[in-house]
Amino acid sequence: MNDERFRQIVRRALTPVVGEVGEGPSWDEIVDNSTAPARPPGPRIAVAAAAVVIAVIGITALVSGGGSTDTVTDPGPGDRTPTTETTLGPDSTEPATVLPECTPGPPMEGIELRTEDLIRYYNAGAAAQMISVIGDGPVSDPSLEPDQDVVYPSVTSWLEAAQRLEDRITSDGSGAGEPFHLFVTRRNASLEADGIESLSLRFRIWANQNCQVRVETTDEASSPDACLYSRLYEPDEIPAGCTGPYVPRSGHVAVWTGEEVLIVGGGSGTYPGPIQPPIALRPDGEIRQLAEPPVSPGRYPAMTAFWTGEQLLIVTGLPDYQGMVVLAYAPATDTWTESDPGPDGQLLGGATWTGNEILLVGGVINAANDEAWSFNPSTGEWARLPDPGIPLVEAMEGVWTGDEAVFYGGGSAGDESPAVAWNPATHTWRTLAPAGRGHIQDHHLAWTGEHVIVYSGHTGPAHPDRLLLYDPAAGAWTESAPIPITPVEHLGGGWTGQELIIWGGSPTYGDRQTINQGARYNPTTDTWTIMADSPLSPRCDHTLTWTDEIAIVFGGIEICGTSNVVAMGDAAAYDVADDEWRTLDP
Amino acid sequence: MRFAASLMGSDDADDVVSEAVVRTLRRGPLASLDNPRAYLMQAVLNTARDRGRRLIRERAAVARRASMREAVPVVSIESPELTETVMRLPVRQRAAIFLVYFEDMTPSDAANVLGVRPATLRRYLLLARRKLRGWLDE
Repeated sequence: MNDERFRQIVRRALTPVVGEVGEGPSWDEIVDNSTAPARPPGPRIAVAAAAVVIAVIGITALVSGGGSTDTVTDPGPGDRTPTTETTLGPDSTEPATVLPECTPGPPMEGIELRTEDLIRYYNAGAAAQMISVIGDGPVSDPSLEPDQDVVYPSVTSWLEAAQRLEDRITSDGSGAGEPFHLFVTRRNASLEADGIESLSLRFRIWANQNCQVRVETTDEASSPDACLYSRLYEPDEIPAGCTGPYVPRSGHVAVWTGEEVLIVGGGSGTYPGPIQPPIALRPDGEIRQLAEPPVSPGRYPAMTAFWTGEQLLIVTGLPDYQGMVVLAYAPATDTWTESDPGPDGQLLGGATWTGNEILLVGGVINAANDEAWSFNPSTGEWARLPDPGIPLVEAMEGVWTGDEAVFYGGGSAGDESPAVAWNPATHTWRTLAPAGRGHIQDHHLAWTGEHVIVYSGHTGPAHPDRLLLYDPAAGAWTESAPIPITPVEHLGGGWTGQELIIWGGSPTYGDRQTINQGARYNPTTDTWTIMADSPLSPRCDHTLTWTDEIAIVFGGIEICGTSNVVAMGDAAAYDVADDEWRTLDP
Repeated sequence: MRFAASLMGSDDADDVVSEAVVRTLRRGPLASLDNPRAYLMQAVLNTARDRGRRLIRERAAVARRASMREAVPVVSIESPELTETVMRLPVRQRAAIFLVYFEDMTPSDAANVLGVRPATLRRYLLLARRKLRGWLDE
């Protein structure tokens, strides 16, 4: 559905409802007449005039203190507080409040909105100081007491409510100008009762000492638990990820142990969401929680995981770019160990497991590098290998063939991504023939027993429509038959022993859309089989793990590369023999 | 009014606009605002969202009691149910597609009107398009 087609659909759909109400008054008429509510309305300005009449009635009631006018909901952008004494109506549950008189003054002149002071005043409940900075008036703050539809009639009452809830905010940063933006983290008893440890919010404060102040938390805020946040604050837009049976995550790693899939790392999708806790998933959908690792993996895209037969090994980056580390998890004892820090220039490097050691090639922190390292989990030692003789490169990928480790791809100088192989027995590198595909990144490698298959990835903005196959015996590259589904990057893939399965991913380099198609490739016959339709929605950054009989797709996110969409909390199993899917549920 | 109708339907548009204008006029004359159109449209959106929240809560309570979720039937572009289907979009997504695809605003202008970042507006558009693709028989 292209843009123009979508426009046609929207026009066709909305014309019946929009057309019925006509054009209404012009903006100039509305603006002009908003200052003269007593003017007799002409036919074309009836709507605006009627609204003004209602406004006058409302404001009159507000000023006179009669009725329940003060129990208004969200006041809309900017609200004016009456300059005379006002009390709440008899139906209100709020105590009667006397609004202070306002001193009209020029907007914002001479006012220095200092984040530190505002937070200090807020946390101390120092209403006078707060008002001296931002003025006074109704405060709309839906996040303080969710679902209460409360508008606090003054800064004082707002701070009193905050004090009752023991609300505390800390600064995450600040902005300047009008409206004033204050990025804060909020904690209070009400949130705790809802199961939210803290909220990351953006306050917008309009203030001008002219009896006009509005403090609101914006809907662009996120929470460590984005699903809880949505249920409380955006009940009309609960993200799809929140409807799944598992904790949403994307960008995680997953390995099959022979009994269960160990799933580690990954984020909730929204920033600054947490790194999700590790779990073990059985093919029937049951899960168990694992011990927390000593270092939170998943902060960096270079996280790679291997199953040794006894333990899970994860190569990842230390916080603050302090280099690489290997985390080892033993399911038998539910314990983690952390290696000494390794090379500090290997983030985004290619990694593979030989059966005895992890090999790392290339990578980047501030610049690409051309180094190669090994890590032996038995001894816990890192060792620098001879230089592979490649240009500076980032985002290589590696795979173990049984005799040597093949590394290919990544961004580098020259016309082609480098391709090299390391032989541990001879302790030597050999340079492979050029693949002829230019520079490929975000790709994956699989070993079939005869060929290295290169799948996923992109060459600049393009996505190759054929797999690359490298035959180490012949030293030659070939291409597969055309991929029968949309070529993508950030997909999930796994080798079954006979076929390569690919599913999901993003077909667009720029706007990060996703698909939920999949296909199986048989390198022996060079044929493809399109998989049955999946019950899972489109996604990327999920995992597809082969478990000897079925492939399990877990998590992911519906829009690639974004930080404000909740990740997926669902999973499904694909049975190759029957070409059937079933959703997983704990 | 057209904007309000796109959010709430023509039956409720009058009420939404009236409430929004009341809210806005409490601030002072519209002429004193830098961008009264954007200001009033944000007020209309806020009002529509408030009403939508109340409706959603009521519907959610009913759905919980019934332990079922209402399925959205797939409709064709030519179907008279097309309007109803589009009106099922969340209110902010409806606001975004109305401004961009009905009023022909640029995404940047529409983001300004709605008081959100352009990236957020693009997200609304993307999610709306994705959701409609699933609902429409095309």
